[in-house]
Amino acid sequence: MNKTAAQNDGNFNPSPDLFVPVSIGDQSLDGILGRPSISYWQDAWMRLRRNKTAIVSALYIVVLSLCAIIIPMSLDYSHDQQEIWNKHSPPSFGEDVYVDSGDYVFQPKTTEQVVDESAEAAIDVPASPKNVRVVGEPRTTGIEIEWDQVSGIDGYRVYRSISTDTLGIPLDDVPADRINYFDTSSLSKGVTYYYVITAFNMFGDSMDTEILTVKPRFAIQPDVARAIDPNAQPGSIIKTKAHYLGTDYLGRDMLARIMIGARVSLFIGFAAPILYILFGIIYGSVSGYFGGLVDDLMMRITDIVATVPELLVIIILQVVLGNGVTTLIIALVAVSWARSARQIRGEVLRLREMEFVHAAKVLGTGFFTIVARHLLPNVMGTVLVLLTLAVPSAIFTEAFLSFIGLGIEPPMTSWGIVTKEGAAVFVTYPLELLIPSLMICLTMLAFNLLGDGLRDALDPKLRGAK
Amino acid sequence: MAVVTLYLVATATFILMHSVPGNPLQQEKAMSAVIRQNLEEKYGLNKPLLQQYTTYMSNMFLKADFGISFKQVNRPVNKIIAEHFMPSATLGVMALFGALVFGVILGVFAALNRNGIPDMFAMVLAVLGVSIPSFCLAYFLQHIFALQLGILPVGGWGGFAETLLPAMSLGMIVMASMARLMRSSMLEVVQQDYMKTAKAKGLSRLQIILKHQIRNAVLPVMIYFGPLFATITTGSFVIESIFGIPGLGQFFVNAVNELDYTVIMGLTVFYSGFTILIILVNDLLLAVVDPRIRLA
Repeated sequence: MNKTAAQNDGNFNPSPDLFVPVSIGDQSLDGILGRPSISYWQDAWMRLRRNKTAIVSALYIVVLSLCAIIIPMSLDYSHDQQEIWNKHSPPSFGEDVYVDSGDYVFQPKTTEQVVDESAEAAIDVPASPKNVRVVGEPRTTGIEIEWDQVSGIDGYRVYRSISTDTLGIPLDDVPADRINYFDTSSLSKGVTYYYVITAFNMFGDSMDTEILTVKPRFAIQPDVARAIDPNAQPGSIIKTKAHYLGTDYLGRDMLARIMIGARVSLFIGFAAPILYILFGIIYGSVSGYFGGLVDDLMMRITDIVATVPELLVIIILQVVLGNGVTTLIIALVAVSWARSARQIRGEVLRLREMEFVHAAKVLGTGFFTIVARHLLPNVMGTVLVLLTLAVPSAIFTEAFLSFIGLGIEPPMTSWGIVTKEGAAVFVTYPLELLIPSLMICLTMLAFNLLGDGLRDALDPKLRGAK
Repeated sequence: MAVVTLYLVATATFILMHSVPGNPLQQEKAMSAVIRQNLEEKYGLNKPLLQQYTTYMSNMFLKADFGISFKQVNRPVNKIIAEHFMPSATLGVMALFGALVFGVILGVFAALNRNGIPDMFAMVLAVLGVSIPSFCLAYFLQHIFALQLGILPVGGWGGFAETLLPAMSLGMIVMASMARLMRSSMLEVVQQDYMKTAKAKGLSRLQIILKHQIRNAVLPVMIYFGPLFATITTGSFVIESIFGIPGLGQFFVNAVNELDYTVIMGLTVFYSGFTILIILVNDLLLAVVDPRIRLA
């Protein structure tokens, strides 16, 4: 650029050749402007890119969303397919399982009842059965227990426990003339069971009973095996399907449940905030733009909405509309719009006093144009941050509602449901709570960190700050 | 103002509640018409809705009488609130003020050691705290402190020890967000001119931090404090049921499920009133901390 002498004679008539057309990225301007001129959003994007945690978080969210779409399609399980014989399975790539050959047929063994006439036997609890033993191979398809007969009693009672501390649950009463018992009720693989057989008469159960420790072999019935492998032969060993994250209390694949749950949770997490922030934008800009009495009235309404307990609104909507994803989204919108409306109204209130809005008004620009062209582009930053921070809170609320049984209805799944079911068996199978909790935590963490990053990147005050 | 808000909340609740199909008596099976009529008369359900509304409102606002429960025979709602409010309130207040105190300490600690190891530690804790759902945290705390270590009770209500775990699970999120707010607020205050003035006056570092930095930094944090109370009341139902605390949360959820009109109304108005009260107290505290805010 060439410096020319300013003409100060009061009649300034610049000639057109004083001006040089400039294009973006013009090399000759470097050094004059200091740095290439970039727009607000370019600047924000540049600063966001420098924020490693925010970028990693954004990547995580993208990968999770993709996984939620792809993984359930590639699994040969659905979220509600039960393998009741394979419940609480730890994570595995498939296990060997014995196909029950049916070589063992349960026969009640009876003995002649011997009547004990001795005086002491008739006034006290009976002696406990001796020599309690397993007959044949204990399998998860069935365990047969046999014991020596006790005379002069009314019957035997069979208890099963998973710890030696307690007697456990009474399985059944066996008549006094029988000396064996066959247990087929929901036995799990890899679990050690403790059986106790007591004899009882009118005075009560026998004391000092023997504890029989049994760890059954993982076995399935032939018809169940054929569902996995059509060529499965009784007596052979086949491989179960892989459960990369194990199975839950009904033998449903955890990975499928968590990924389908991710679909539900993420869908609600995105849909609800987008809807209520959209509503908040409309409400907030009307309230903020007009101000005065309109603003007062509209803000009083948000005050009231914010004070009515969320739970009440949500539960009432559940009752009226029934459980489901749509209801949850409507409920979330109903309880959360007020807060976003307030925030956007605050922004609009600040912006409408700016010179460029006054200028637009002076030019006769209408309400819609001012809002759409001048106000909204300027609140987009706030809206974006609001949205990123609203998503985790919506996911959280969904999880919370499903957790207390007000959200998604089983057998449909969501992270809240999986967490709830995991919490019920937490002490024995901690993994089933840990995995969904971890998913929720990681996702919330990612959205929070991304939101923080966005807020920093979009705040012009922080420009140049590390 | 507070009374007007309360009145509107009560009205909104009344409308919402009566828009749900059915009434509390309908859900009971096999009731003869006569009994039904008598019951409706007893509870005033046979009167027009508008009259029910005016009766209820005047009882509530003029006599502070919330009526009797429909489902728990002859039990006044006032009594339910009186008996079960203390556990909920104790828990909420402990969680909230614990969160405030520890959050502020953590934030100050982090800001004073900016970018140092304590800062990183505090912020990792804060971000994790915001990210973990309170009910998951409750189970993990219960498992670690009660089952594994055995130093705190698993649940129940009574002594001080019982309140610790639920208050921790409930307050964690609030504490974490307090810590983050406090930290950024502290860092903003450091750049202010009055900090330089204080330094130039020759005040000691401790005096500067206590009298100038913290006092000014705590203001924006306290503004968020009132609204956060709402988070606590929502979360308390699950926490109360996990730890077996006889609080109000269980009544509320059951009441809405059973359409127990009076209990819903009573608890809603009570909760709202309590929330408004906390916000009011918070405003008063704010005025104490910040002399620029005048009390209207």
